[in-house]
Amino acid sequence: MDHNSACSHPGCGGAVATKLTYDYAGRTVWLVDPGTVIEHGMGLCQGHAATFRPPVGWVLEDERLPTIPRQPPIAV
Amino acid sequence: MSEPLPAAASDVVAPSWGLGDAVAGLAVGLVAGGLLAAIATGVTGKVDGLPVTIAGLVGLWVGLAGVPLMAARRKGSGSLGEDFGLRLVPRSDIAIGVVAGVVGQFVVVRVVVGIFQAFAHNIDVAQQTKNVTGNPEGLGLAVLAPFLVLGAPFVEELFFRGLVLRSIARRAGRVAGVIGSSVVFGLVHFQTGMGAASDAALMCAIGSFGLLLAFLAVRTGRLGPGLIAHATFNAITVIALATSH
Repeated sequence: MDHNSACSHPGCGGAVATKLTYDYAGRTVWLVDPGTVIEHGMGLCQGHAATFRPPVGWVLEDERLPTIPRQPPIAV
Repeated sequence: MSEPLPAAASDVVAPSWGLGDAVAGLAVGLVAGGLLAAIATGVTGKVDGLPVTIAGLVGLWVGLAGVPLMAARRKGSGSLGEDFGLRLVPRSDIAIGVVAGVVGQFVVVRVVVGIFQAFAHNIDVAQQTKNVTGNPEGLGLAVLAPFLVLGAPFVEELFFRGLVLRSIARRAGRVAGVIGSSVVFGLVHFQTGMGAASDAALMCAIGSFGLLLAFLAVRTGRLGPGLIAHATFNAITVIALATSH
């Protein structure tokens, strides 16, 4: 799976906004910025990154830099 | 909000439309919109895309525009201008509306989203435009643009700032009408899929823009300024879409 271009969530395919990597032995999951090079893991779109929850017993480390996303105009 | 709503035909015969009609309009719009979108999905074989977007909008507008039209004819004066303030004074309304639309898009929405960003990690509502429009380009955007810049402002101002606001205001006062119509406006535009905090931020931002539109409607006694503001707001989005591809 190419974790650089498309969200790895089944059926999504949205643009990658966050990368997820993990250490199985240490039961730790990291969320990192999309530009970060990771050896293994997956890419997640904005929505799936926001709703991601680690498996029970695992620790989530959010290492993404705080960002103020560019705000494109919306339509009503 | 020191000036009252202008006298309408209600001075002669009080219109009998009200919140029931607003609820009916919303229900008919949501059902018709869902139905037409489903039909478009069945025909095209895609759950999104321009045909589905337009079918959903047209269905929604059947309720949001059809019910005020029927309410004015059967229960009111027969005039959308008299009953709901659908009037435009070009010289002042265009100027007020353009400024309000720009302020709504670049100040109101950004301030509200910014407040959420100050308290929650990674609030991002960038996906909204894609969800609403299907992110078209070229001919698709040219086809969709009139729906966003002309259709949506006309129908939504008539419904939310016309029927809904005035129905609530007649029962509970103008302040309740302004707040109530804005809450309904925000709720109707609620969408999921960006994360709960982003979804909530977007709903509050749109509701806040609704407050501005409702204030204009009450302050001027007509829908003209809000209509132009709404059109300007969406025109900015269309221009952004056209220049982003």
